[in-house]
Amino acid sequence: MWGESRHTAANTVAFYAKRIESLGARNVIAFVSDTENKMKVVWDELSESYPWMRMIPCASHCFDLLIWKHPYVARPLMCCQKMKEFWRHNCFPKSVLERCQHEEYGKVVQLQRPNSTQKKYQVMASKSLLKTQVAMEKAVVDGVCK
Amino acid sequence: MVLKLLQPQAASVDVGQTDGCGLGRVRHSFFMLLEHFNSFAYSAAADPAQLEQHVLQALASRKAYYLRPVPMLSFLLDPRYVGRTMQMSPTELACAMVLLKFMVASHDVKSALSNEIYENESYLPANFWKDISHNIMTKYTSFRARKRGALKLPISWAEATAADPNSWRRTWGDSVPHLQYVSVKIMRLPTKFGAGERSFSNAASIQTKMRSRMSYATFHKLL
Repeated sequence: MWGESRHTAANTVAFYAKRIESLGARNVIAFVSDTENKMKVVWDELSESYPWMRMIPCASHCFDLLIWKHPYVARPLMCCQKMKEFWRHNCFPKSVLERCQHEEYGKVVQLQRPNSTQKKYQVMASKSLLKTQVAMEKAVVDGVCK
Repeated sequence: MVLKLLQPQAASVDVGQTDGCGLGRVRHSFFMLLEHFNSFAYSAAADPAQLEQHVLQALASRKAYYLRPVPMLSFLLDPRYVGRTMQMSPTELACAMVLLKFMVASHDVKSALSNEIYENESYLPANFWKDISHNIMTKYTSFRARKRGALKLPISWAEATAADPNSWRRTWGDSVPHLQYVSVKIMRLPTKFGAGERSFSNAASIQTKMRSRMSYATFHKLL
């Protein structure tokens, strides 16, 4: 990033203050942002300058980061992500899986790509993995036998 | 089991992704998640008691962090959730009421001063604040009890009518003008920072290792 515009709390506050002033400070009633530590400092600074302004954390971030850190939740999702990467990124296993899917379901079922930042997509990707479980097991047996 | 546990949470992320639904829906999602986590069968887990405790603790701490007076007030004024069994705690209710009175009072003071009834705030009569507080509590009570003007009509509370809180306010909110003013203001607040995140994402694909010497002005134009 540009030297003088690094994303420090002070620079971020200055940027938002300038923007708020351009909109008319009294016209801005709330400030919505994510909840990283830097933004918490920004909230404090802005609350001091504009006491009427309400600071609202981003709802999506709050829900997204709810219970993922527990190993019982994190491990299966990580395992699913690794499986997904394996089947998607390796040509030979991918072609065997597609052949097995074609035999099993009569069509190729695309494995959904997990998004690393949104846990919701990891859940969806894991669900899509479950849908093709039978074909995957068959592909593993096929691959080993050959 | 993990997927079943996480499914409502993934759905809650979508609540934050939709604009114009109001912050009240976020509070409602917390209620739903609490109900889901309380009734979930954790028996398939290696240590079900520990997982349940972790999940409930995480939800409680996230709730305490997220739920500020604005989403709580938005939930209280949302026609979709009037008459539901979900109840907020007395502390939450008190915080929301303080905010409601503050917003109504600032609106009333502003209109009194702009109509040149009083020169400045120090000339306001002694019972001005008390009247505002009393009025707003009366209106709020009749709103929740559905006992004022057009709000008595069952059609005004039909699910299809209340589906969009913003248009509901415009159509049926005349009976409680102060609440209408406050809810129109807070229901339009965005619930998420998604647009900002998207522009960060776009910025990352414009300013890459190969384009590290691009000036800020050029970068801003491309963005």
